Amino acid sequence: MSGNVEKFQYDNTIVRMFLIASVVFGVIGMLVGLIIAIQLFFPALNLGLSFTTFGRLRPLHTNAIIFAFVGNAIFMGVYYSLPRLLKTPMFSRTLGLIHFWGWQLIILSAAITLPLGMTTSKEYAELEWPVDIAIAIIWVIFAINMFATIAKRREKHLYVAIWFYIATVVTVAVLHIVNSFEIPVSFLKSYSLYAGVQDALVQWWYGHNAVAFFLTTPYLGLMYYFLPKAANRPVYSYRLSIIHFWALIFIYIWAGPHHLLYTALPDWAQSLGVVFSLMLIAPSWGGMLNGLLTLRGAWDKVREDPVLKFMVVAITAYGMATIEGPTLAIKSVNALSHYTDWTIAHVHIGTLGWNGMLTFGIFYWIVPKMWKTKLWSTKLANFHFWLGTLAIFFWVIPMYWAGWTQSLMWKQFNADGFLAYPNFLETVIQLIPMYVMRAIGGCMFLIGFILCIVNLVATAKQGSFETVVEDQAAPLEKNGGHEDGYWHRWIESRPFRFTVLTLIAILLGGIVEMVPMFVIKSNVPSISSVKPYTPLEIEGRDIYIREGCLSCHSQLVRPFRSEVERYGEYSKAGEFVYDHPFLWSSKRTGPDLHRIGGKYPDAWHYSHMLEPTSMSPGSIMPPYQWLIEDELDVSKLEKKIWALRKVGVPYPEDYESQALEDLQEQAETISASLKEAGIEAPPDREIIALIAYLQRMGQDIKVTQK
Amino acid sequence: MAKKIDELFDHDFDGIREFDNDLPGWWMWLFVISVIFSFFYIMHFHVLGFGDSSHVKLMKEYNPDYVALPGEQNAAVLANVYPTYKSPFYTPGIDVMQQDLRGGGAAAAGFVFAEEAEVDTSVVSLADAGAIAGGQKIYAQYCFTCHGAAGEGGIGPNLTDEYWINGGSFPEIIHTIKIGVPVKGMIAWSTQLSPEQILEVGSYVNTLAGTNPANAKAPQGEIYIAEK
Repeated sequence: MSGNVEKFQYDNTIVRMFLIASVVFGVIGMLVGLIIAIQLFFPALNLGLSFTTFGRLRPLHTNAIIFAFVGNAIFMGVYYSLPRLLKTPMFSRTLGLIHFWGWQLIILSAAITLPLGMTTSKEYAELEWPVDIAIAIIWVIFAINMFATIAKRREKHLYVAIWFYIATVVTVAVLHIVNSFEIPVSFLKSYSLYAGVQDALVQWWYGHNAVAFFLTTPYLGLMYYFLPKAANRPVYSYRLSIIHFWALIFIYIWAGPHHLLYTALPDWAQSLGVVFSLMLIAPSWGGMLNGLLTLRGAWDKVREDPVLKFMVVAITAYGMATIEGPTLAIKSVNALSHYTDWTIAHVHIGTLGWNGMLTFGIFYWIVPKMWKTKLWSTKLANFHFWLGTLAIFFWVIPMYWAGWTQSLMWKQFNADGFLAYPNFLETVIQLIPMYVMRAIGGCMFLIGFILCIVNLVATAKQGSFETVVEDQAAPLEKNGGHEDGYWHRWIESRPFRFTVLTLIAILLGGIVEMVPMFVIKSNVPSISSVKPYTPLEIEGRDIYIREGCLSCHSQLVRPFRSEVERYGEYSKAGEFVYDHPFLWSSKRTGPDLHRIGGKYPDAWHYSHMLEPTSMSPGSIMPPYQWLIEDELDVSKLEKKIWALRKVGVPYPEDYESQALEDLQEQAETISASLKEAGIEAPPDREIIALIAYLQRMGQDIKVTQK
Repeated sequence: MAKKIDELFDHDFDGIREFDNDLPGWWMWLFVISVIFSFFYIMHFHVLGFGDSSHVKLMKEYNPDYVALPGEQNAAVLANVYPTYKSPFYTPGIDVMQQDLRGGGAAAAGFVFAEEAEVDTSVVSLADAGAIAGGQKIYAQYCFTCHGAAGEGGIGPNLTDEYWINGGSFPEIIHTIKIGVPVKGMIAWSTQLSPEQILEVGSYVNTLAGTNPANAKAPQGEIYIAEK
């Protein structure tokens, strides 16, 4: 036996690279988050620039945190744990380097394109089509590197952490590719292949499972490696890990529609979202239990070791977020929470608590390990722990309060049957103190992170980096050993079949929900009066997308009396059939805009975009004066008409040749109506197109009413 | 069968060992109950048809006695109910009323708006200072953005001169506030203000006549001279 041992090395340098990237982008991502948090009570912080408005920075914040901070931390953990769990080096250092640099380039391209307003507008999938392709390629390279490593392993069985890595790699690929089908208009502009309700379903199937398979499953994998390592305790239950793994990945994928409760999505799909969210409680808590119960008999260590402290808070936050998620998926609770800061609080329990704290815990464990030294200051790490934990409370409590306050104000009727707060702005101004407190919480969290970096750098300085780590193991025997115990032992030693089973588990939910939505017509009852947008409205809509208006404004009136009274008729599925992409949004920092068309005169919109507080004193919307100065770029108009026709919008054959003429004609009428109100606005400005779009919104169904 | 607690697997992964403890009982029950509940939830709403659809729930919010049309609980049937768009307040036999911007009280009372088509000539301007002050407050909250802080006009017409687009008699002013001028972008304020509030703000507007504020907008509409 001993003569059969092979020697090999683990490469720590690639782990270090991902570690540094995670730290750097983590700081940037949190800083951007802090800036936009402050903008909500101090709108002038964008310094009057278009690149720094809330609408454009919000996607940068979410992308930086999810894909740069958490993403690089995942790769750090995988490149560290995977070879050690399989007793083999990573398959290819070159592929690893391509993966690393490719991923950082993608992040860089996001940091450039998003502030420039180049966005698809689909949440967490905002990057334009060339970047989407790059993501797919880099992801496949990561997958090849991972599966090839698994193929040449010296460990027969795959440990539970690797199951989660496999599920992550497979599912993220499927989600990303299906959600990113779009037709290019130009190098950095495209339209979603899907429209309206279908686009919404696909997007939230993706968006929900980006949370599941980018922020959750890989982190569960990391937990299963780093927690027992740090605690030096056996994992509580193998059989629990089997059940919660399969249940989690199978059920998670169905729950996407809970992001679309009370929208124009058909009721049956909403109900699937509700019940699969409820069924998700136990599988999610399975992960939490297996984490916390692993610490039985090690709680004395938790008192002393900052690494374990961070991990305990992280796992507890995971448990809280996964009981809250299904709670928010109950329709009557969602009626209160949706569109409010409650959702934002919920998300940040997950990101600050689960992802942030677990990442910090791993940082504090892995840096002393790789630099062969002790942590520079346990005291400082403990201080970071308390600051970070308190920061989470400072962050989320005001936001829960804000969410409840605003939602109840939206729904309040007075004794005469009128809305008690008919002016939306009243419900916003009420929240300003909460927004200030939230920013303080965010600031605390960021300071904690900076202290963490100081500690890590000092630790690295006092140690010496171990570039490669020697290890040895016996090679895998072909057909060796007999199968015993669980059936599951069998599948664990067959990665190909394991992956296929995983793929089937994660495909089912999506297929059952999406196929009927695409092939059965009654799911989107058509409305004959709904017509495609005019050329000027298309351009206006693209400005709406570019400026990220949907970061703060929804376009979906829910079927509640309080919303019908405030906004007008509730939104119907058939109204969105030409919306490539859909723009329902998921947050109302400002009012819903679906029925804004015709509500105010053109001049109101003009003045409002120039200086929102002139029309709505106290408004926290920033001025958009560049829309008034900049000329509308119509150079892509023909291509846009062509692209939209390709994805199914029935513009007549050869309408391209007439489109510009129609655009100018409509622009003239708006320019003339502004002139009537004493405003000189040339018809070739961007504001004209935006007004055209705003005035069209939600109007089509009114045509047949008379 | 008593199971051993903390039985270790005879195997480790990079030094990590695993117990094979039983699942906590309450956890198993939580899972099982959530699955059973889900089954009944789907049956209740989508197979047996007992639960209300979102649409029917809205109808009941307006009218607790609302009885769902045959098949109205079902999206597939709704598709036929709406070959072209119909208001959710549509009931067969009654014409669809323009309800888009109608107010809570009126809507709750049964969606009858016909009386608003007529100008109610019986209304008279309020004179007491309290009512005028109340009207001024409402004006400062909602009206000034378009009509100017002093009624001088801006996006909307000047309210201080003798020219009126939709009639300058007090009942006509009240009527305009009530139903709005949707084509020009003035909303029907009966959705947001009670009849008393509309009367107050109308009375306040009445007091603006002839105040000659700065930056007054040029006259629009027709001259109206109040009868002596």
